[in-house]
Amino acid sequence: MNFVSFEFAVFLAVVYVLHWSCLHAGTRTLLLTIASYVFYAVWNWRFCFLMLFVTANAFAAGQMLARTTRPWRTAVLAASIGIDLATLGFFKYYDFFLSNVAAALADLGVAASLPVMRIILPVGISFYTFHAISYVVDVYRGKVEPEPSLVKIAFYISFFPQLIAGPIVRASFIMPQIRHLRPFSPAQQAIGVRLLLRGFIYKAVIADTLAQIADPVFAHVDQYDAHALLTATIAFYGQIYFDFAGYSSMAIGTARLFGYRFPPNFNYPYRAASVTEFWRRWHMSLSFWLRDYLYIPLGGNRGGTLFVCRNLMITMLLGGLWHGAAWNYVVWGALHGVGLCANKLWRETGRRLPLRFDVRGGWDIAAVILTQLWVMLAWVFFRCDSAAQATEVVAVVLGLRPHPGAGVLPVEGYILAIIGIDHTLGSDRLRLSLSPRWAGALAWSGVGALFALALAAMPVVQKPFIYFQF
Amino acid sequence: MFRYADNAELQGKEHPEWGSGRTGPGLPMSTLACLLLGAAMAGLYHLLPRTRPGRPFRALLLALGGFIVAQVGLSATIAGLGLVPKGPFYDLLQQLTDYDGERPVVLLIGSSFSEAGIDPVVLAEALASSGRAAAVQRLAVGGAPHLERLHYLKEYLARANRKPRLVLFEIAGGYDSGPLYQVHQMRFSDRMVAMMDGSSAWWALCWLSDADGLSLFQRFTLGSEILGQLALHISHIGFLWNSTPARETVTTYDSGGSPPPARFSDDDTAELLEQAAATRDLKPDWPPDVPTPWMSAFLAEEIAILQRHGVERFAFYSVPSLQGANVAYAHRFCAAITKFACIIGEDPDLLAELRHGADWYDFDHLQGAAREVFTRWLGDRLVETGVWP
Repeated sequence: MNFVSFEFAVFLAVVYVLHWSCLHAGTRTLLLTIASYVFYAVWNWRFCFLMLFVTANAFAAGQMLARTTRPWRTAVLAASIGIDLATLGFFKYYDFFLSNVAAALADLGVAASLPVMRIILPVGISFYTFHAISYVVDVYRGKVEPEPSLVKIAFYISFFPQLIAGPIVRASFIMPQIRHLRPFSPAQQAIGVRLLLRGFIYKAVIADTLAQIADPVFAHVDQYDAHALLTATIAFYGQIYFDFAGYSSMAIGTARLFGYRFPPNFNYPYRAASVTEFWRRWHMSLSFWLRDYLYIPLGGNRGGTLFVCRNLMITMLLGGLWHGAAWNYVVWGALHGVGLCANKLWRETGRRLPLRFDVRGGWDIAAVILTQLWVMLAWVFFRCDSAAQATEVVAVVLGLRPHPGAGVLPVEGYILAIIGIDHTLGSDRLRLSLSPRWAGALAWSGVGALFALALAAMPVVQKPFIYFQF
Repeated sequence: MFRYADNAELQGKEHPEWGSGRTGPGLPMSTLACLLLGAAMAGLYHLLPRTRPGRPFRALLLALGGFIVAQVGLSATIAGLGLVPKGPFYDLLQQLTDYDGERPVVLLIGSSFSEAGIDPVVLAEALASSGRAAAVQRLAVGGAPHLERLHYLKEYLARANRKPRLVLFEIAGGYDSGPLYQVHQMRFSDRMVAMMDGSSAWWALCWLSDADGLSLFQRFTLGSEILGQLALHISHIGFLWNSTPARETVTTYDSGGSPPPARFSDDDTAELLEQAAATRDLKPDWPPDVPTPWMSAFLAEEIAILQRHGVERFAFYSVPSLQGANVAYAHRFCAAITKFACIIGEDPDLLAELRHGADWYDFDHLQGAAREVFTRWLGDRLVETGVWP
């Protein structure tokens, strides 16, 4: 169920009314859990059982961790995470792995008929398995108490605003909220409505319009000239931000309507002056998850520069693979890993040499431009169907290969201006300054008017959110 | 799931998954306009003051007020700029309503059956050759349910320089028996949202309340879709994306392409025609009442609207079909509609000329030379029966 759809609007309205009609915390939790499973079943009811299995695994591990002593605790943790990763690996990577093995064997001249199963990828599996892992690890680390109620664990893992594409909410962050009755607060509702509106404008109006520019070109890369490919690349650079930030805003806003706070997922990432900063602003729930559950256990920043770079590369390669079972995602992760390592080495060099870069001065602009060009380059690999196609696009855009073809309207300047407007006004928190009386009137009538305008400016047929495929 | 028109999903030419594939690689300026509008909205959103809703009810009223004021502003802008939704019907309306000649107008209203089977130029020639010259206009689009046809008929009547003197209605069992099938198939597409005004929604809900054989869940689903599309129509959803000045030639609408043709041999065609002629039964899921009470009321309304615009002559016709149920339906329909002339495309002489596989695009759509054959035959019948005196 797409957040920008009539079906979701009806679903949300019904669940909202029922939720706030219930007086008891337990009833509300049960209601939201059932609603979340209904939300998931609309896509494919059979995979509800898979989600239930992952939930049962996390619940059982939590209970066992509460009852076992130290040496066994690690075994329970490893077994639970192993089951989650095996589930994720089977559904997401089995065919990828086998097809690559078959290709490698074919290169060696060995004809092998491997059992490729063409497995359907369950929507949101990458997210709910990470939620389950987060719960078990947080219980293991003592950051959260083992939850005796299966319903509450099921609710945490399946809560529909974050079920399909995050944000990845830590168990230690959300479980305390689940355990207490959420009061109805007009202020929270207001924040929820505003976040929903922002997400709606981002996704329905801007991202889907940008998709109209990027999609036709990336669908037939061979038919367009270098300028069209550059325009499409910039369009996708904007589209994925507005799409995913829009989705996240709607998810966080929806959760707020039910009284739950989610951590922010985006903080104007295209202002980042380094790849390190980019990952502190982009898909923050994933990058912090990878940091805490993968990068730090690998060794984190401890040790020499090479050791740290190794950890960064492993983290980003796995992060890339997490997005999709294809080599272009691995390359995308590798490019970000290289960017993180380059930034690490740059800072180390700055410390060792008597160089002083004033990052608040003109250098900042150059750093932002360099970082964003690198991010844009990486997005080409993310967007293309294969690493080979992405390499072709990059070569053509850089003028390394002549590529006659059709052109498109030169709108790249407008796209960058839109990103600039959003990042400048949003990040700097510029607000119209009015008297409290007029500020209130403008704030709320503005919300209504913007919603009306957004409805008129959105395409009727909406594209699914990009991150729904992961 | 619902009663359906014959191969209706193939006639629709606009698939819900594809929507109306309206923006090709050419990137029209409307893309840029919507992009800039989106940027302005994002900017305004950031600039709006953040206040706590001291009195939630007041905040709600203010938001509602802002929504309504913006809707009124949008309506005024749309009217001021003379914008209309892009789509196959507006392309047609543009051509039809411009006619301002001396010849009286004959208007055909139908679906892809008529679109494929009748050539307006040939029909005009056929009528002229009998000394009864007419300007023939065909208001027929693939997959158009009755509700959509009536919606655009009203637009046509409001804009046409010359009102029709004779109106011919297509008879098609599938469309008459399941008037919401196409609406459901193309739900939430540009076309369905554009036509779902209050009147269309009313007729749709009337059918829903009367229809037999629908479960409560089906009624709820369809009813929700209708009301949802009505809400979207009223709120101008997607309008700025898919509109164009009314007087501008529209060539950018991409209907999504035609379904693949069925390929018949000459022997198959002859056999299917014989089977069709022998069939007397309707499809099992079509209602036995022909026309249904809903269809009778709808036709009465359509005719009343036309009469208010000075139209006095009406008739019905069916296009030849390889499906016997369609022919049987046309017979029953004509038997029930005694007030108006009815022409069924199953004359043996006519069918003898349509026995080649190449004459049929699929079971219900003519193509090639067959189109001209049927059109001339229809012209002759209109004159012979005195429908076009």
